[in-house]
Amino acid sequence: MIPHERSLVNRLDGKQFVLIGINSDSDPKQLKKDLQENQVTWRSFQNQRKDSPAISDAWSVRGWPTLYLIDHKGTIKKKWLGSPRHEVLDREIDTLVQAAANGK
Amino acid sequence: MKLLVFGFAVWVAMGLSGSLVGVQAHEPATQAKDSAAEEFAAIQNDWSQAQQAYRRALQEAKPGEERTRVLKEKRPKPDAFAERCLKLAQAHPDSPAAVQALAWVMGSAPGTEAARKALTRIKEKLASITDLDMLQKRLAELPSFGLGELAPAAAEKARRNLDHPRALPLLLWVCSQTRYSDSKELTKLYNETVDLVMDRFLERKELAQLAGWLTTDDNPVWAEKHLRRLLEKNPADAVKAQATFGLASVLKNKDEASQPEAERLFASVIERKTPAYVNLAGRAKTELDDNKLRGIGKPAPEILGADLDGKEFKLSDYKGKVVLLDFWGFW
Repeated sequence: MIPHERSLVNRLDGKQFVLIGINSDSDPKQLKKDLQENQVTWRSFQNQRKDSPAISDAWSVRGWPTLYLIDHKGTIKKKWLGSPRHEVLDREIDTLVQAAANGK
Repeated sequence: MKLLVFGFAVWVAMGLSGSLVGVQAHEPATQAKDSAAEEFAAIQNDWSQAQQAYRRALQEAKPGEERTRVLKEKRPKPDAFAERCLKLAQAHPDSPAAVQALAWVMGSAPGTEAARKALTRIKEKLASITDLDMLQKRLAELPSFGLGELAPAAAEKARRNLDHPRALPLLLWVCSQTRYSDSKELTKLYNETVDLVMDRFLERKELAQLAGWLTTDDNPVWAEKHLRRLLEKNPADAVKAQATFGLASVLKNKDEASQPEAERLFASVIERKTPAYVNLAGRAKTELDDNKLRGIGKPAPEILGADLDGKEFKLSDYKGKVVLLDFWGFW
């Protein structure tokens, strides 16, 4: 998933698109290393911060990865439990990015 | 489709589940068989002690860095145990313990050279079996996953004997071993086998599990087609229940136009009071509630949080852009 996400982020650089993660790793030191090694440049929320409920619980996430695709107006357009096929993911994103560019 | 990681706890539990094959009572036969069974029991015993030591170390480790280190470094390596098992199987090829030992290697040391050797030996053992009853019996002795390589031959034998009572269970076994595969050939075999089962055995009550698999398939168009056929043609309550829930789940993730039907189907799972439906009612309720808040077509709820550098931000900062929100982790 990460290599494809990296190429997505690169391909759509400058377009009306952003990838935001919600990361569930528990060891910050190891995470920092992994982020660097895997060239994860996009932003992520910490899933669980001290004293606050996990975002994944608030969103009833039942498996990883779970993906939500949200359009430029903030409406949920698509959901996946488990990695979707790359071409499916690309197609869905491209359609929404095009619509955003057209201001629809 | 890719295997989902259901959280940290399950991952740890998977790591700890050492002995996949219980020590079974062996046939009281020759001296050789007894010594093979004894040797296998000894290997299992040594392995479970290594696992226990690891579990203790994990419990005693402080969460965070120390636990990560224990997870990485102290986890017992199955290599030496696998070698002992392979030797045992070679020395006592006809003992039931040989199959158990080979199965243990495959289950406990997946991805290793030893596991490949074990799989090759099991493949050889199974190749000569043409009787479907015997084939299914042998397969049932193996670990319940990671046997995709045995699937093509098993599928072929079942396909040639579709009228045999064991043909359907064998085809379902083939599906179970191929559905999460990374290999293109095995994914193709999975799809073909499901299509065959649906054409030939559409009305059989054994298809509830298949309906469950279709629920999370990564080809939702194909899954929807089959789930609709099951719902229409299969008379078994357990299959109908699973197909209703499955179709609702697929439609929930499809598009905005499908949401009313998805919600109606979830509601129907909750309403029916037969055991198969009652079993799924809790999940259907969760899905329905979730869909009302975060369904397709709904405004994305706000997320307030901090990024991995500790800097505060919120989801709505990105309004005006298409957002792909990914719940992820390296683990």
